[in-house]
Amino acid sequence: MFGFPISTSLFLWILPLLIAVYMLYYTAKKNKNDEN
Amino acid sequence: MKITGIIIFGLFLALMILVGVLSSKHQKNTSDFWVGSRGFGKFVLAIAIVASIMHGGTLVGGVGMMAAKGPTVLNNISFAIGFLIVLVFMADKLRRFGGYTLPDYMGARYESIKFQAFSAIVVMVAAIATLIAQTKTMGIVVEQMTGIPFAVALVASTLIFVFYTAVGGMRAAIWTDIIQWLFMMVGVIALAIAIWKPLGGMSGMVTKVEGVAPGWSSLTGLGWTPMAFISWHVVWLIAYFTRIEFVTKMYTAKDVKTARSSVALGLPLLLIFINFTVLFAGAARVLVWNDVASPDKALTTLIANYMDPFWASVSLAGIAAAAMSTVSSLLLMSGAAIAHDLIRKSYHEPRGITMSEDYYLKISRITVCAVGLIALIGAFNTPTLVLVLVSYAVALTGASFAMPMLLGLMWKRVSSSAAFASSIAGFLGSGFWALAAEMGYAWTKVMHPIIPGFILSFVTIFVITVFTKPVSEETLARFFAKNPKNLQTAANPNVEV
Repeated sequence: MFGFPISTSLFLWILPLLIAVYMLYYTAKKNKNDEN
Repeated sequence: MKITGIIIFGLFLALMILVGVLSSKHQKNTSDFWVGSRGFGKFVLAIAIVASIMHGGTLVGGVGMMAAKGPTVLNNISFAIGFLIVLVFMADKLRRFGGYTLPDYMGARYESIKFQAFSAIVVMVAAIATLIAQTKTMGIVVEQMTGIPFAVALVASTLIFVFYTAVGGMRAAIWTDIIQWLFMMVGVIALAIAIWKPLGGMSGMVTKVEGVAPGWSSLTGLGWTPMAFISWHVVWLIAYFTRIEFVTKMYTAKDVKTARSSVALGLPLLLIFINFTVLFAGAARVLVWNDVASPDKALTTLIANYMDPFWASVSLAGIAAAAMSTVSSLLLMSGAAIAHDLIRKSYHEPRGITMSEDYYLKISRITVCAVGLIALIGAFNTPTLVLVLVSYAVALTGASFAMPMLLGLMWKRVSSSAAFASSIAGFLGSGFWALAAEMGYAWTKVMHPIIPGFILSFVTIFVITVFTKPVSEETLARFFAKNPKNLQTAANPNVEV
């Protein structure tokens, strides 16, 4: 990714982005539960 | 004197003063002052969280360190896991609890005024240390941007942030965070555009850095042992989920859903901003590394050498904004620790001393001004590498608060004496280690001061909890209720679900 080795990209960007996506999903789900 | 820099900085300061004056009209009681009347929406809060935890040292010191050791110094993974912990375990409960400060939570969760007072002292010491470092960074950047002598730049910028924080409280701190965030984003984008071509883009940068420093872009970078690499990220993970300027923002959200959303939105915003520094670090290594006397001069040298005066001033304004957005939060934190936790909660209330909200508002403002003065005096005489000082401050708060905060929200069983003892053990463990490191003992290099403090705190809280009783059911219900909507009682008026 951007010329970096795959292990660096995985650690630096891919894992944190996956966590960020999970957090958005978790929040949307919890907020929806609160409305019901 | 740099006329462009003076104009841009003047405009920036004028905006800060305007926000302070506008916010001052909403200050009627201490809830308005310390938590901005709990009225902030998710986007405003997400930006404010990012602006307050991204400080001048993150940019100046971080770029220098990454240029020297490699891009995986960057704490993306620590940020991500730290934000996840705050989202899953803390955001809901802290907002429902509805206090003003972190020591408020310690006092209420563990039914202990002494623990609240101790927490307030730790917050005060750590926040003032960080405040001094950040105030100094701000002075250095303003000097470089405007050509005004350091002493004048420091005094002028300190007067401004103390002014808007003292008159406008949390509301001013959060709205100035939004403006400062805009300056920060424009600043980093302008620098990225200026160096993009000389570097040949991101891929070109990696190729060029590998040419002069082979291994720089690898996972463990240059000169990192696997142990040092892991402990560096663990240190910052503990530091981020215990960042007081972050977790206390949960109190200011207009409801629980907003608190939650602000954390989830804050992480992508933070990642976008902070990852510009990878490009800057590579650029520093390729373009200016041989011209800088120390790593923390790399970013400002890059700006001076590769940007025209106007855009250089814009970028430096971005760094000054990053420092200023953090100092207003730190000023509020240390002010609240003194005025709210120590004077009101730990001294007046236990003795039955009743004072008016006007009185406490006045005390809060005087405290903010006094702490600002301490920061100013301290900034004239501090170590150069700002990140080192900040590291000790986060070590003290991280080791003191991580276990009582996190475990106290996850496990009903944690007792008052276990949490208090754990916090003291964490504080003393990291404090002695940091002191020994400063005195030059070689064995301290094995680990960062936060680690021994955290281990001591971890062991203490489990061992003492086993042998002691948990707090009352009534207190536990405030933090562990199955149906939080039933919490809105006269005994707990701050709760808004």
